Amino acid sequence: MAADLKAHQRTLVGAEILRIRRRRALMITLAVLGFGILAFVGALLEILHAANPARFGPPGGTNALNGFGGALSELGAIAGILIGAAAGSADLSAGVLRSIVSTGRPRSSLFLARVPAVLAIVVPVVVVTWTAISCYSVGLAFGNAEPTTSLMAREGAWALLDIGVYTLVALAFSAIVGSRSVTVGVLLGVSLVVSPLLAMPGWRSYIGIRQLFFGVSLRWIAPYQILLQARVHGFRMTEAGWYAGLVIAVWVVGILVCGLWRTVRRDV
Amino acid sequence: MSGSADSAALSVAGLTKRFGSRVVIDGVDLSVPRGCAFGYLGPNGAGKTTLIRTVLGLTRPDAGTINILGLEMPAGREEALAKVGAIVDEPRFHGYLSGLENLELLAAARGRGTAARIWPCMERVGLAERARERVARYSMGMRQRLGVASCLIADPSLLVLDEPMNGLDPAGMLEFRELMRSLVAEGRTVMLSSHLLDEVQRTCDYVAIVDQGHIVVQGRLDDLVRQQTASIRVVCDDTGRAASLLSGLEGIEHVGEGSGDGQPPSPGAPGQLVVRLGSAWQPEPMAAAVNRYLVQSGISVSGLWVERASLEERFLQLTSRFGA
Repeated sequence: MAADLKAHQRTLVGAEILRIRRRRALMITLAVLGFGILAFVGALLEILHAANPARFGPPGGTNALNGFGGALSELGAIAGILIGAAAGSADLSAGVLRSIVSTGRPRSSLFLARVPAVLAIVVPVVVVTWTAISCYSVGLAFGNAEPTTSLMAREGAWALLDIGVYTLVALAFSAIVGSRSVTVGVLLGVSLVVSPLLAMPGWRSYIGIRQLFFGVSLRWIAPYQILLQARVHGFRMTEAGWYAGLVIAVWVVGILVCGLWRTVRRDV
Repeated sequence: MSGSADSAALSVAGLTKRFGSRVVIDGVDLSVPRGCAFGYLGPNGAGKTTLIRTVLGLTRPDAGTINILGLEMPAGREEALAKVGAIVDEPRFHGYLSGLENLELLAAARGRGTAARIWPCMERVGLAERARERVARYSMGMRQRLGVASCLIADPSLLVLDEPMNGLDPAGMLEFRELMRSLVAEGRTVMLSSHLLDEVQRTCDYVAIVDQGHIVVQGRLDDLVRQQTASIRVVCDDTGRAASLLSGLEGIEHVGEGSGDGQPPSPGAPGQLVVRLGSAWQPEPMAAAVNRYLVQSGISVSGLWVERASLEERFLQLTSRFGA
């Protein structure tokens, strides 16, 4: 019985993945934001270096890893928001949700199937891009400081966390408000405007309160922030870092629970 | 109650649904017998779709009980709806997916070998050849067919179809009617809401008429139509004299000119008369009596037939929007 339910849930997840993957424009956007832009910039830097090594230094090294890592987390978060928002409200806005609910399948299982589905779409792209960035940074260092394995792992893990969090928040928020466009608008504002402003390093007061916002907490545990703290505390997670981790976990779980509740209670 | 609920494919008792202060369904009692085509009729805004949505758990009732295929809602919802195919409002699909992929999504939600039924169902509704085309390119009629296919993949004991004939051309309607009858012949129950009264009359065995959230009448279609008074149309050579002769007969409520222009029949003029009978009188024996009486009175009758009220007339009589 339990095995049956598991197999059925897997089928639902597969169907959700199919539904997202077949949105061609969305998949192209994911490929461009998650890989294409970085690949283009990387290729351009290498061409410039090859053409004029005196003026343009080697494109690889630790700085390249940090730069590409930051860019991946920003661009990937945008892609994650687009995919999460589409996954969270597409059935509802297309009017298909009522057909699916009419099958008798519990609404909770329909919502919960979307969580692994969006991650199954986003995570492989991030992993592939991060692997490419790591190879690029090491392979084309040409005398620049090569990134350590631990730095590559930390940067990669943070990019994955950042993108994953925005994807799941978008999925749940979209299920709550029932609108893809509202979700994309709000979360792009959060990602590109509100979070950077609230996390501005020059503005040190009330950091504890500002950290209650998941976007600020995500930035707080970014590798560059940890490196900054490491100069003072050594390579240890500070109390504020744990606090940030807790805030992010509460946000993700909390908003997913709200999304689940709304999906279950919504009139369709 | 449980006995009748078990014998019904769908039964609701005291079902009430409010949106704010507006009562959309007001204490509705409805019973859909198993193995029949059941028409659910009502003017726009009468609460037809809301009742279907409530029954299917798409919205919560404020009061009342729902029993589907012998299972009480909401406790038996998952088990009951697994054997129900439904189209609510109109069939909606993801336009960027093919018909086949849309059914695969629904089959994934249903599970239990539903996917194996997709192709046979596509063939049954005549969409197999265009199954791999994007739904965005489907006509309204094709979407209706795909909607029916999406119901059939459940191998349903009960189909609940909300305005399923919208967008179908006459040939499509004929096919649809035949499909519905074949589903009923297989022992399934089909409940369809519609405003196409003629189609319901041709398709259904039972009907319920809803108006302003209340069930006004429900029962066998034949009985319902029979309750309406019948008329006898007479073609004769002197409508004026025939009218005056018939007006005094027992069982005849009214005699008027057949053209229906409101003018009284003219003496000596040939034409048609409409003889409206009292509801207690059987039309066929009355027709024979009228014919005999006119001929014996020296009036030449060249045509005479019984006209029964249609479902449409009964509907208009019963619903508030037109009945008054």
